[in-house]
Amino acid sequence: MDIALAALVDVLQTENILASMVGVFFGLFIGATPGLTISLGMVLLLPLTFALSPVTAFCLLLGLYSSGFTGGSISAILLNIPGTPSAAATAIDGHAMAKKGRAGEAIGTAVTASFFGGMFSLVCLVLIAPTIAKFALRFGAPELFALVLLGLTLICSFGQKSIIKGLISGVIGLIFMTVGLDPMVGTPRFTFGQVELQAGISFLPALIGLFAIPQVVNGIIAGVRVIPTYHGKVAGVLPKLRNLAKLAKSMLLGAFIGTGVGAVPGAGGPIAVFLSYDYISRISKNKSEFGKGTPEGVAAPESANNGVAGGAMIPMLTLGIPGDPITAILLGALMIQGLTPGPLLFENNGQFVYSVFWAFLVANVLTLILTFATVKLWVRIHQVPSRILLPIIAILCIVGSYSLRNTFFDTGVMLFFGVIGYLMNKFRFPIVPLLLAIILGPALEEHLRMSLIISQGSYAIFFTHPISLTFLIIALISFTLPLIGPLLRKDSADKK
Amino acid sequence: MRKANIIISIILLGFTGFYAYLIANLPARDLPNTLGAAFVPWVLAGALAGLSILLLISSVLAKNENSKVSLPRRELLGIAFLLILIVCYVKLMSYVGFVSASIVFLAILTWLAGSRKPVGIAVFSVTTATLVYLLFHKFFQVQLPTGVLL
Repeated sequence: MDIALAALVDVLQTENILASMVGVFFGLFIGATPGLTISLGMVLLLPLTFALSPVTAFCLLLGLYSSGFTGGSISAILLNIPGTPSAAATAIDGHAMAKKGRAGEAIGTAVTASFFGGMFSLVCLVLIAPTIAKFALRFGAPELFALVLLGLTLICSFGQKSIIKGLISGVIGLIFMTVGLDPMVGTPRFTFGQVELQAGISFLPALIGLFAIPQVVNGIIAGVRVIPTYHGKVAGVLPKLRNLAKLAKSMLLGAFIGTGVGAVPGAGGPIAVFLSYDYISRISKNKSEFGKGTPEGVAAPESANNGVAGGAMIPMLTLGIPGDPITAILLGALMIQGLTPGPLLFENNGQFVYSVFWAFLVANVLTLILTFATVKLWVRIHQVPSRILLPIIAILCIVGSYSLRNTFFDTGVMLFFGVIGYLMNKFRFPIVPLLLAIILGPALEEHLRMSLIISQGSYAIFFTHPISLTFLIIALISFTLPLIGPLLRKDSADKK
Repeated sequence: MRKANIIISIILLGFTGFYAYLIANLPARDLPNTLGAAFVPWVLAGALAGLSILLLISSVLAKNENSKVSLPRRELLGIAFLLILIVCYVKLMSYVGFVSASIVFLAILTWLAGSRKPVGIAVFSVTTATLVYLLFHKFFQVQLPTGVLL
């Protein structure tokens, strides 16, 4: 309890509240601007966190994480252009409401539901995370190897259009992480005589390159994008209590689905929002109103949207396995601060973990207050032209990658991964498995080799430990089922 | 997409071959009861080869799809130009300093992104370069390159 109180006092320090506010404002801007993603916002802010304390850094990043989803709903409602992929379901009924002159009500519903979803997922995070972390403390090297492998295979296979491409993306990421000094015997691997490569490929320039450079290239090649302007009025944003009471079921359902789906590595926000939209449209009394502009169709996906945030942080904090690309970047932020994600984080840095909980609470509250207070600004923000945004993003990428070690070698790494990211987008290879492999690759190799030292070279160690065996079986199922599933279905259809 | 996948899988197989060549030439420095530095790279090379062959087979057997991968010359030139621009920017920075080089870089990029007003480009480039310098150098204590100018 003392740790929790000390963490609260820490989070309420002026610089941390200020960092949360900056994060929330930046997140609302990123979310409300079509074409900019929360992941991009995160990687742009990441280099700034070097100079901050871990708590201040997380106040900044969680502010962005929490408000980015909310900001994404504004352009979805007003312009039918989702600011983030997860706001796509909100656009269906939200934009229909805006066309009927109820834009204010739709935005108010979205903001309140987002807050509810965020708070629900926070409660789940606080209740569930310590128990999982306590259990995970029993894990030794074989269990940790199997767990990291499971996380990777889930991300590579779950929700990917082509499982082969997902796995190739993951393996390429792991190959990049074999560059540098071998972690056990110190043999230089694939360094081509470059001193800078001996420490391996830094994940920060790689992240910036993968997320930001394709966006800059696409923006410059596509030229000035014409985004329609919303000319209608936005009034009555503050929701009425009796209206909110009617939406309680939608918000609760959305929050529940969002938190649950968010906690599954690889599932992600878009799946959660469409699941919750689909489910509420089936069980609602006003089924016929869906698609025509009902607040229920806004409340459920928006609540799910922010529910994903807290849900995805459960495996990230407790096991070191991120649930989506954004938590993968948060995992990177933890590493930059010299903290090791996973069960030991709860054991060794208990106060910091509570600070993360409080920072997420503060971020949610600030998002609610600041969005209502500044809604008129976000209604117009999508008019910021890309000719202003793209050069700013480009220079922040270059300076951000340079600032890691004060060397332009990392800027070269960023550009290399930028080209890789661009080509992967073109050839429809998913980027998230590559990103996760880059972050988790070193841990995977270390746990594998440590296990084999313990067992004196016997692979039986992975199969004689029940927990590692369970993880390996789930990992095997996770990537064989999507491959075999369609064949089995085809076979049974042929028999019929 | 089918043709693109076939080409990609062949490129990946070529890359696997190159990677295997590099692994085979890794210096041997093993300790007793530990896996060598080449063990994990060999596993990954095997996995990439297997997956590339799977992609090749599935693409050859797949029916022709309507979706195509478009990689027009204009886009490739755009990427090449952007890379050259960034390399020149980094080089210029070591001669004239961060702020001056950034003003030139931002001005070119803003023009490329569609702006055609010289005064607007100048004001935006100078303001942004100065603000980024102040943020990173003064506030976050990052040592940005300095040259004959700032």
